[in-house]
Amino acid sequence: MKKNILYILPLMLMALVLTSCEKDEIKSQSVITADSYTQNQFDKWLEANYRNPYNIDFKYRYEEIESDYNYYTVPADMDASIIMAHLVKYLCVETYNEVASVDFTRSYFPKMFYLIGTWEFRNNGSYILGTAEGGKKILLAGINELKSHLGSADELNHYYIKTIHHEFTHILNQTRDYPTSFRQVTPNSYVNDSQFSEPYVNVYLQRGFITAYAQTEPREDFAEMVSEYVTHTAGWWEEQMVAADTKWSEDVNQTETGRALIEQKLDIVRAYMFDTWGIDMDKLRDCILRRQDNVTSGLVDLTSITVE
Amino acid sequence: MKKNNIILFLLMALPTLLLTSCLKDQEDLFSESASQRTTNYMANVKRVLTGAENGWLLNYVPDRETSYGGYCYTMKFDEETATVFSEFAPDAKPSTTSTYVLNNEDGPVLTFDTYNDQMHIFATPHGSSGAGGYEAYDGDFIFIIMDISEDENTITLKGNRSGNVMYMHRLTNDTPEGYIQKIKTVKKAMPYKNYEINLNGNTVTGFYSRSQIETLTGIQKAGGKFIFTYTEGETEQKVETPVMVTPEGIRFMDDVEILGRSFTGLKYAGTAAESFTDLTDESIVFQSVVMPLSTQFLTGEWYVVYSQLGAYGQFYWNNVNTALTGIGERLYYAYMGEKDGFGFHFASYDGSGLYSGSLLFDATVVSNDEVTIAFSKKGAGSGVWYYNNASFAYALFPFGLNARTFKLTTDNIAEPSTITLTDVNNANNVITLSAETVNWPFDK
Repeated sequence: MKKNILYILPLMLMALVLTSCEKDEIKSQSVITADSYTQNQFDKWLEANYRNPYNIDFKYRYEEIESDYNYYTVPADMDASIIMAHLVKYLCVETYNEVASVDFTRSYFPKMFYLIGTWEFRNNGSYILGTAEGGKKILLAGINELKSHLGSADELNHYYIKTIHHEFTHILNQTRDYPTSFRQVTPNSYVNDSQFSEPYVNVYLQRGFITAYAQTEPREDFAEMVSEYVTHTAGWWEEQMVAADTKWSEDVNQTETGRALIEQKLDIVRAYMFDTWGIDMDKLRDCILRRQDNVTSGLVDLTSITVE
Repeated sequence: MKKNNIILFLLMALPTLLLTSCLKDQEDLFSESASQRTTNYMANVKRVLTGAENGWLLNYVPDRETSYGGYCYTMKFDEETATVFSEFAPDAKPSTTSTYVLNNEDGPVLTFDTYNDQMHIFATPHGSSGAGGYEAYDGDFIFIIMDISEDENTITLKGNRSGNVMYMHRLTNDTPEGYIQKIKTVKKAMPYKNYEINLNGNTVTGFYSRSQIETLTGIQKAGGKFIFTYTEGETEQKVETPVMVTPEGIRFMDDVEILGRSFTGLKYAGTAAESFTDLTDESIVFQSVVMPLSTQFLTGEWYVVYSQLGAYGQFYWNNVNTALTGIGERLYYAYMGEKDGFGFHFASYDGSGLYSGSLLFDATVVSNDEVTIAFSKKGAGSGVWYYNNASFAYALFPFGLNARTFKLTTDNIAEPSTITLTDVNNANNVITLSAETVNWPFDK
């Protein structure tokens, strides 16, 4: 056996050596070429106002790959996209600059916006206003209807801006999770897809939820709490609390009023936002409301795409 | 020792496995990389598209089932934008300009990538179900470029969504606007729905059913299909084909063979007429047939206009308006007529989506110009919901919540633009309905 090894070794070595092959020369140019694309004025404005300062990619042109294949959607209108770019910048990006810091916005604000023209319609008549993906991307739908909602802060919030705060809350949660105690306030009251069905669609306040959609699941509840709170006045919030100041008669296990439940959740939300992110919810609300007023009273130029 | 031999043999065999082929320098099939070739191809497509002085005609076919027929778009390209003309655009603003992009996705792809209220009509979804609903009309705005002909006058496209193959033709004699005007002229000159064709003593009937397409300026009738019925031997046969209106006439998109003859379409002879020959076989004559008014009423679509309801009808319809306003909605359209059954058909708008429905009627023809109609207490779509929640019984009342008999009159029996219903038992109940689509009936 010993002797044999002496024969075997050279054979094995030979096998190793003989695999080598002639080298192909490496070309100095990549074989992959990027699609060429000439920037228009709006692209230049986006470069100066989104990409350079925040590294945010604001995609207003339709790319099938960014769209959800489950829905029939169409591209966003260019003029409406310009207005939307101004709105997101003024009402969201700069709000967080002001209340938190530019560094906070740079670090956490989603890195990509993708606009589509219509809502994402489901086959049951309901539709999706926007979605957030992986802490990075926010899809905003229904851009082609934007112009008809510009005059009203309520409508702007309902269809678009609240969606951004809502989705941004998800992103914050995905970065650092919210306390589990939040899930324990109304642990058995989430109803998933029945949120817009009778009876839940009408009794969410008494059940301890700020919107019907909040009844879906805890993380949606959390995002609804933040986004509803910061986009509405203190007076509006109190109106909701007054309406919630009773128990839902059909749930015998509900021991506290809706108001008490919502306020417990609000305390957790406040503490999370302040302790984790250094954001005072009341300051954030004041800032958003002031900026909303400026938009609806026409004080903000939403159409200029001049790069200074 | 035997065992060792086997091991030795195996080890000696090992190099043969490793001595794999070493074919030196495979010949490249192409001189450039795949990516570079695509880039060059796209540059060529752009040169061809922007190079057409009068622009292009696109024979557009939405829907994988082709249920809505075909349509003509004309368009001009510059470096960044496409200007799109269509038969749906009002004369005052015949075109809309938006961006386009050529890139490499599933091969070379042309995408109209910002919104164009003409180009995206067939792809724009609405909240309702059915045609034009959440699946829109299954129309495309992303096209895979399959081929450019050698003379560069024809580009073959494939719809990314529908998979339909479509063609772009270079316009040489027409401007984009002029071509669309020709189509509008043909549509106007060939309005008839019912035809008879005499084939050696056999009568073939033809029915031209236009599709209702929802555009930003309201519902418009266009495209559609042509349905033939005839008797072969003892059995009744039915053949249908999607159609496309072209400057030459109404062209059938599928081959139609009936009783040994082939039909290609109805030829527009340059003026309004009541009969038309086949596009290729001039011995085939499509004779338009004017149906009795009662048939036209029961098979057509007759739109409600609030101001034409008469004081009696308006009195009841006011309740409908109040009820809809109460739930934050507005009536988008309402018509009496045929849609999977004769009855009252409507759509209501809630600020972002349309909800459509039907409340069906029973109908009895009394004579050529007299019908008795009555609510059959059946609904479809959202019909029953609106009946229960938005006081739609009031909407039906003047038409016949309980049976009513109407005398029918019209401005032009061959091509009615209105039908007037006069209640035989109540002279106060006189309603005029419109053949043209009417949106927002309470505003008009």
